[in-house]
Amino acid sequence: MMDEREFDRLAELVRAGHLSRRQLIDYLFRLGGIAALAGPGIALLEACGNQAQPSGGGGPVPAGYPGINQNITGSKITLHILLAQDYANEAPFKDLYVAFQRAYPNITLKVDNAVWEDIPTKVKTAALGGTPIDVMHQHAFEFGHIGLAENVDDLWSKWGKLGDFLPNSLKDVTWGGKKYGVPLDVNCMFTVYNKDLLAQVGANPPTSSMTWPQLRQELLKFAGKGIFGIGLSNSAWNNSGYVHSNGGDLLNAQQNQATINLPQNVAVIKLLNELGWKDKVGSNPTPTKRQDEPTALFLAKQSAVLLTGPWDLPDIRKGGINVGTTELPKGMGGSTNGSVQGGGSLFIGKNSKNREAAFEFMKWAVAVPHQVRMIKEMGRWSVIKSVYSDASIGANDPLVQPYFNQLKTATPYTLEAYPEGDKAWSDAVAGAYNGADAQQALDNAQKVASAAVK
Amino acid sequence: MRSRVVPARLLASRLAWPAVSSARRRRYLAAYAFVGPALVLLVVFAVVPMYYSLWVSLFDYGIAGSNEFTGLANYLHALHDQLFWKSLGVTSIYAVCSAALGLAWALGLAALVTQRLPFMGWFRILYFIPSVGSIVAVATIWLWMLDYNLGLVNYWLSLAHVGKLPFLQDARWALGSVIFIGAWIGASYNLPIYAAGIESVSRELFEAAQLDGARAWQRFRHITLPSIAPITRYTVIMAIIGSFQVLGLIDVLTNGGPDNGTLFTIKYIWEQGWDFLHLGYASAISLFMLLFLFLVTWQQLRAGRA
Amino acid sequence: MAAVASRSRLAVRGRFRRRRVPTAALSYALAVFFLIVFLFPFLYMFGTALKPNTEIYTWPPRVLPNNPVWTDFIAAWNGAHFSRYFLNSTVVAAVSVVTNVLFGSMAGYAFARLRFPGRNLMFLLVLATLMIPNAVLIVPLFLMMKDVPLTDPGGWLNTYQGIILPTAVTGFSIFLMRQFLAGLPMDLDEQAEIDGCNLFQTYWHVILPLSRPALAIIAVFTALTRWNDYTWPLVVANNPDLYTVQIGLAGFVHTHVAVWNLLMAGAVIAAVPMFVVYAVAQPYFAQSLSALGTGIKE
Repeated sequence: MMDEREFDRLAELVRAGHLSRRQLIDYLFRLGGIAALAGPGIALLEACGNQAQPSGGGGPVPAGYPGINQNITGSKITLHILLAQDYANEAPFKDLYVAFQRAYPNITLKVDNAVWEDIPTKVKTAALGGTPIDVMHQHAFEFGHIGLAENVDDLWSKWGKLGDFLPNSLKDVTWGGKKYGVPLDVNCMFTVYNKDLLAQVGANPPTSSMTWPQLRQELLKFAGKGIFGIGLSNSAWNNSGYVHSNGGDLLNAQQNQATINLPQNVAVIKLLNELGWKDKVGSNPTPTKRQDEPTALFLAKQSAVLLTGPWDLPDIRKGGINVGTTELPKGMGGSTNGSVQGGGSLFIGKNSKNREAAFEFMKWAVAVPHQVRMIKEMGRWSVIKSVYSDASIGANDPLVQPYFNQLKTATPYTLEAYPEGDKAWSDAVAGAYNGADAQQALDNAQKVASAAVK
Repeated sequence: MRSRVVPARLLASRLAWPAVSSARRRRYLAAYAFVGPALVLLVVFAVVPMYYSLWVSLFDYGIAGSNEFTGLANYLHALHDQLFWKSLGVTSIYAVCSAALGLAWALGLAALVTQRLPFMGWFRILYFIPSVGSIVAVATIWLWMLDYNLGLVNYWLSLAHVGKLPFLQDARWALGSVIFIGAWIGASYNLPIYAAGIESVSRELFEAAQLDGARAWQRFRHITLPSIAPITRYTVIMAIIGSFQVLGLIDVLTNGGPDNGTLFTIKYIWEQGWDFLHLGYASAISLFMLLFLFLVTWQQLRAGRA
Repeated sequence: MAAVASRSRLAVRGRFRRRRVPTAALSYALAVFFLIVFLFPFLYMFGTALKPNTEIYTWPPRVLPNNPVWTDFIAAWNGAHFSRYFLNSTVVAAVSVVTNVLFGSMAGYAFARLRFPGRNLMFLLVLATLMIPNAVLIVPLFLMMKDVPLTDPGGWLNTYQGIILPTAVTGFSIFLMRQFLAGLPMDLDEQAEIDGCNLFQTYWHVILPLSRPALAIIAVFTALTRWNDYTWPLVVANNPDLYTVQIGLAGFVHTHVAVWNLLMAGAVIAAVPMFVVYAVAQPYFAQSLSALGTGIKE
């Protein structure tokens, strides 16, 4: 239900006239249905006196958010927004909807949510149905490539805030040199380890200058000890990170050719999967929906090293593990630095009729105050450079430092834009971890992907 | 109710049905009225979409709006598509094995629970539970139990010194695991049907056989089995048809892998259509699959009649 | 495995025909064994639903938690917006049950007890629709729903009727009714006609009351399949207010982390109504399921 703090905040908004009765009822119903309306709703409605509706030209804009864009304050607009479920209903976003609609009283936000994995299906059905959604949440570059995202280079130039963003975060919205959206948040893969387990077998903890072979040497000390040195993952995304760390990539720079079987790629994948079936110090990766298994092993204290993103830290801390963190190994030779970047962006459905309003909403979603709230309340890391100088976001936490460093060199898994290439890579990696020869597996994948990647 | 008769009579006379008495015409119209709503719904929502699918299969259907007429190219491609034929093989193996295992299991259980022993009825009710839950939830639990490193089954196996088995890691084991789980659900689902069938066999037949000195196994083989043969035929056909529709189970357990070892045709269709956006091709192979299924079912019916 | 078990059990019964106790004991032992085989995964599901976050991943794996928490169920109910989604699933299931029972029984009655031109052909068509997998129909149905004439743009997408209509009647309902009704003696109809009933009265007052077992089966199986349906509601419903229970459950599988204990708790909650429906209708099963096999020779 609603706690006191929220109740007071809502009451204040209503009394000050910032929230209309209708918006209040809407918000309460979304909170908890009829029950919420019956209880706090009545109390709040009684508390409100006359509210002044802000009139044309836009309403109040909270500090730190973009100023009113007069181009969209005219006619009534309904913006359809589709966000991932674990974002759409969080407090920072709920407040964002309220604040945005307050600033633009002529705009109504219709926010739908779906599980991240289901969003591509919904994007495609919307496109098939001829009713594109205005703002959607996925990897924009993928949909730019398919042709379901609007090219927004013109809106970016008008905005002029390109330099505010972490450079690599923009890669999530760029395809073929054109931009198709606005990055929303970013994360990347780095190394997490259990200090106690490493000390138990006399292995040195990973450091930021370690190479993969050096890490392997330490992990070999786990042989026959009954626990795993490392939890291995055969996910396409994770393995693209290992490849990046060795200076390789799965697509060429122009993004029109698959480069799956580059020697750098093969070397890393070979080492990693041999850690599993050959050296027997890595766990056997499992398929599909158990992608959290390396984390599971780590939390169950059955493995000492985990290559994951910052989303696991809260659970790890709660699990009472003596944890240390560092960046991914510096490739095979120590001279390369890379990781895989995740996160998501907001993009506009192709042929949407409300481009500018949609882009305006996206600007609000990357406003500094909102991004700070996303870090603090949702654990989602910002794409805006200046946010990281805010001391309150916990950037000084020693566990998080290596993650920030790694962010600077992490690049997205771009092969995802070619679903058949993605599958070929996935299958090859899974086969390698199961004992197939890495070179052969990747060569096969290269053949299949080349046919699809054009 | 009398008012219904009058307009029917008028309608019948206006139709001028040749060589049919007006009373019979009325009956026919009434019959059509009974069948009408159901048939209309089925035609609109099951048959028409198939025609639409046929239409789409003649194109290189682009999601962003560009459709290129390609005629039978999709079908020709399907004929050469090794993965498609492999998927038909995988699905067929699954259909046959899980149906055989599941139905035999259901039959044995039905023989067990239809005995006149106290509390057997309770077992019968509880055995249906696997069919009540959503397939996704059930598949997820099995995914956990069969997990290689942290799963319960491998834990028990390691306690029994058998060692861990790659239930979902290895292509053949994965297919076997899926077959087992499919049979497990199938046994639970078909149990009430077989139980009802066994119970409907006349007791006099049993008593007569017992008087003649027939032993229990002979009674089962010569009375029960033939009596429920129609039911067996029905369950076999439904099991095979059902096997070709299994998608949720595969999505959760194996996602078609490893190495396309559990790539059921319906999963392949979904992949081609939704993931790779080859909607025209997906429509073509789905029609192929339907044809395959029709042939298999027809063959089953004929074999039953013989 | 089952065949061997039944053979050995029956052989034993043959040998000890006079002494029922050992065979009864063996039967119960087998029954309990299979009970474990069928229900153990659900015990595991229930155990996971009770686990606090820290006990989800353990080695060795545990079925039941050391410190069970019942709050998982509350968290699952809220987190998956079950109050709204339960309502939606119930509406979808209930309406589907009514349409299937009504239209299915009408059609089954006509196929089983009336003669009219085209009867066999139509029935064959009904059987044929049983073979069409749902997944194949999704795209065409979606496009059809979007372009329904005489409706707002968007057609029947995002509406209850959009979710319900494609499966308002299934071939299974019609088939089951036909099989069952074919087994009833024809003099019932003749007697009713002599008494002055027209076809509809015969159907409503004579046949339908006798069909309760079959209607129960149709109701249960329709409710089950509609309640557990995921893909079609997902594709049709864009507005979360229309989401069903299964879509809500899927929400626990987040991008990198799946909240397993809440997912299992939600699954348990979602399964309860269906089990109640099944338990209530179960006594009727026996009388009608045996009818399924008859008449399949054609």
